[in-house]
Amino acid sequence: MTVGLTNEELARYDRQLKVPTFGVNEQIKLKQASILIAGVGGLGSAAAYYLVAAGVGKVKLVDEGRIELSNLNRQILYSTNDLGKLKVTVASRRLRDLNPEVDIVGISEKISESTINGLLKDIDLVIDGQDNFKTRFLINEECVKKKIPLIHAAVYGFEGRLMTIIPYKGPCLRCLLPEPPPEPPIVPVMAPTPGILGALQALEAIKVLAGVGEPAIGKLIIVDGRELSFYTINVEKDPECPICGEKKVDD
Amino acid sequence: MELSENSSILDLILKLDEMLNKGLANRLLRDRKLDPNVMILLNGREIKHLNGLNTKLKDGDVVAFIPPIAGG
Repeated sequence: MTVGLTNEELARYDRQLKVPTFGVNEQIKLKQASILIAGVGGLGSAAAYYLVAAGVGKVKLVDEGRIELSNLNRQILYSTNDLGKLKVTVASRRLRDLNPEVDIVGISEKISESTINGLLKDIDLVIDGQDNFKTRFLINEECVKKKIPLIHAAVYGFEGRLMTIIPYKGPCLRCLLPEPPPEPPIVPVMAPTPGILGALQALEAIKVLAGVGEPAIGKLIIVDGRELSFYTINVEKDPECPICGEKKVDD
Repeated sequence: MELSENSSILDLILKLDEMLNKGLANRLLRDRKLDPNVMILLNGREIKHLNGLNTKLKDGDVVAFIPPIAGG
């Protein structure tokens, strides 16, 4: 089947089609891609917004939460009159309004051992927008098993981190964090921090899906919003990693 | 920074504590074991994958101390 772009799509994506190294072929790659946004909170709101705007073909949103007042300092898909509604319902509507060309599926479900396989079916890339280590570890493990690229990001206060995980090509989350750290209590978050990191996740996803630029594989990008500095720490793929290392247990 | 021959990550932490910031060792260590709220990368590898706090250092090594975060 030949996939092309309609005149309307050529107009909608005109400014990014003018970016050197990104053209119609790259836009078609985005159009053919299916992604999962794992958690539509602060990170997921921003990442989903830009990825839908940029024309990724299918965007699956998963989150079991309902909108609370304390979400609204940073979760930009929601408004005050959405309080109490399911996040995925409101997010899907907002994103369809933004770009009706994109197939948007909202799933109100907890990500767990029993749901993760179904959620990852036919998915080309995952945006990790979780708020706890346990689910992040589960998503990482299943993405590695299925060789699905995973864009990791996390925030705390003024600070954010990002690493692009291409299974077996570079390190995974467990190369970086061999053991689960204690789960944090409620995390302080300055309003724009997850917006910055979510936008960076979207940028990394576009690069991986379209095959342009150099994704942050093996690089932990640390964004220090308090001093406004970006640091890069090189991370090695670890042969001792319990998930992607040489001694991993075969599934 | 300069360390004596055959120094370990633990030696580095104790030296940094002495040089820069009294109390750093208390934040990074619990009973001379690494606090689970800290990750330490030696040339990009988490030291738990190596020999933990006893991992030996050599000339030119780069050590990063990072508290893991998970907020979304």
